[in-house]
Amino acid sequence: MPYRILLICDHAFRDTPATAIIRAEIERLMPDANVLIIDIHLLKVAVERYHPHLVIMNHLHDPRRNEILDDVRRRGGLVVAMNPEGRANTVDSMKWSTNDFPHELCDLYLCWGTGVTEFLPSDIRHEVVGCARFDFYFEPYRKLVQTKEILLARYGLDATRPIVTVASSFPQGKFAKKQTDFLVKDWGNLKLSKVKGRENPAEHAHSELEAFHRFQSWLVSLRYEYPEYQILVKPHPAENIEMWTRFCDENSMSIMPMDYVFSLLALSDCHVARVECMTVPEAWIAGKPTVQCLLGNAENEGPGMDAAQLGFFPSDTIDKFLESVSACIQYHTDGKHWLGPRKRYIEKWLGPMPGSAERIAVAVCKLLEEKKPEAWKEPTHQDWVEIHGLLVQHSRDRAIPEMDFLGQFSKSPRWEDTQSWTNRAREVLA
Amino acid sequence: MTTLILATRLSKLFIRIAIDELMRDSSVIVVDTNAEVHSVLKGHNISSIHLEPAKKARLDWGERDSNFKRIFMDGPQLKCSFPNTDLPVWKVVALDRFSFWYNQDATELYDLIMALQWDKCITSADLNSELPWSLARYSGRPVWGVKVSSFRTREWYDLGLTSNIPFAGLYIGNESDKALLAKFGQVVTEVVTI
Repeated sequence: MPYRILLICDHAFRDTPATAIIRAEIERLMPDANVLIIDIHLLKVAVERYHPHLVIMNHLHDPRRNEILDDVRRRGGLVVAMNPEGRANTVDSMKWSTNDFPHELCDLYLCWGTGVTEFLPSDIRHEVVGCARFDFYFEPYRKLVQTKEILLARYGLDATRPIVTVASSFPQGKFAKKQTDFLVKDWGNLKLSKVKGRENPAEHAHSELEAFHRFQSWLVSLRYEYPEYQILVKPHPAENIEMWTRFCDENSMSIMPMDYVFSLLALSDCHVARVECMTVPEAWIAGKPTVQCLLGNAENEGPGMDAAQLGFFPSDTIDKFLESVSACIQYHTDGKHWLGPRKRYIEKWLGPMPGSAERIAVAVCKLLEEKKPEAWKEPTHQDWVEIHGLLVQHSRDRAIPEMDFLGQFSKSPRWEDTQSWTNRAREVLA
Repeated sequence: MTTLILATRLSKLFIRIAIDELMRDSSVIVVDTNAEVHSVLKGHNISSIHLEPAKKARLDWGERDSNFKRIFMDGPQLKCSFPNTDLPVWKVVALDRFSFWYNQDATELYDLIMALQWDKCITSADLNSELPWSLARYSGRPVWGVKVSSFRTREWYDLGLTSNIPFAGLYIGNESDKALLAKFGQVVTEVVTI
């Protein structure tokens, strides 16, 4: 029987395209394989019906989901950890992300770059593959990014005026005033509160909110200092959208809540983000000038601050910030002499590129061929009917974009979208 | 590549194949021609377009019979008349076996389906509906049939003997059906286990 591979997707507007190209690459290498991309919240119900030979999971830090993965392994399946979200920013969070999970659950750990392998314990099998989401800056998958003309029209922007793109990155800020208990429990559950600097989740949320307000005040100044700039804000996938909608409306900024970072950067003349934000090196890959904002609560060591060392315009005051944005717009660059060090940084922390999706597919197929897993049972007719029904219903229920209880907007990856992205990826590969 | 799934009659195998296609590819159009079939598909969360002929054409028996012959009775064994008569064999066999169920409305449905954009069709191998057979024979695109009733009937056997099964292939549920169809030759089969 063909292998069944379950690919977990955690956020619609962060992970969907990357998981789709991984699926297309696996199908190319293993045409008989049945690959299913599902919302992470459907993990349990999908595992019970789909009986996967292999699950590709975003992380193994959640004890409740680990129980499900443990079942998969006990029933003969394999588990691969692959982080689609971002790289840990500090040395301590890097140690947490690479060590603090049950190693016996992990059959293969797919690392972005060699920097991560330095932290991985020796008992974990790993491969350096890069991250599939960066494949969209290179051929062939670059074709799937919409053209600047289409994106300009979508966001009502003027092609003749400079566009400053802003990626926000304050996901914990929303917990400062409400649902703090959720954060405390969540971090306790993930053991994140053991990480240095995160011992007190409530305090961390407050500090994030302060930094967030500072960031917004800088953007307001930018708006008034340079009214000719068009400012396009992409909230972080895990932020409360309400923290941005009114702000953007009142300050004549455009907002991009339901699109991908590669679309944001396709429009960018200058990209603004806090110093540790993953979109900064992503903008380097896309060849866009960046302004990194030092907002006062970054850790001093680790990949996040390493990126700051390479920023031509790390801005720690509002004046420097305004000056940096203006310089980027004026000269269309943030210093080409940084290309070498930045390339080395990207190789170390973000991994080899392009071709990450293909490397991931090769690693997964190699593991399957080597281990030859056997599922304890094949899905019955009723299982297939139920999996299909579940995906259709899940997709229908989320057809109208809305906030979840944490304020995250349209987070759930819908089956229709994963299918549509997969088709586009197949077309590109064909 | 867009796949058209046309359901005139259902079976467990048909549902399974439809679900497989829908899960594999988003470019799938599902169409049905029967209210009951539509409701069963809906019950399986399969979103289907229900097609129904809008007009009732006046019946021309001559045209009907010749269409019927063209679709169902075309084959070397039946291209003859009974000895010492002008009575074609196909006409008698047709009256005996299939003609009773032959549905003229299929012509209009055929036009409706051909108006859709598709590259490959998967349809019910339904002896009681002309539509799948017309598509298989005349659409010029690959049309696969799915077993929706037993092949071990006199009708299928006779049809098989005409060597005139027009489908690009048949989806079947087991190896014994494959062996049976192999006797008719030239029938590509794919066994789907359910």
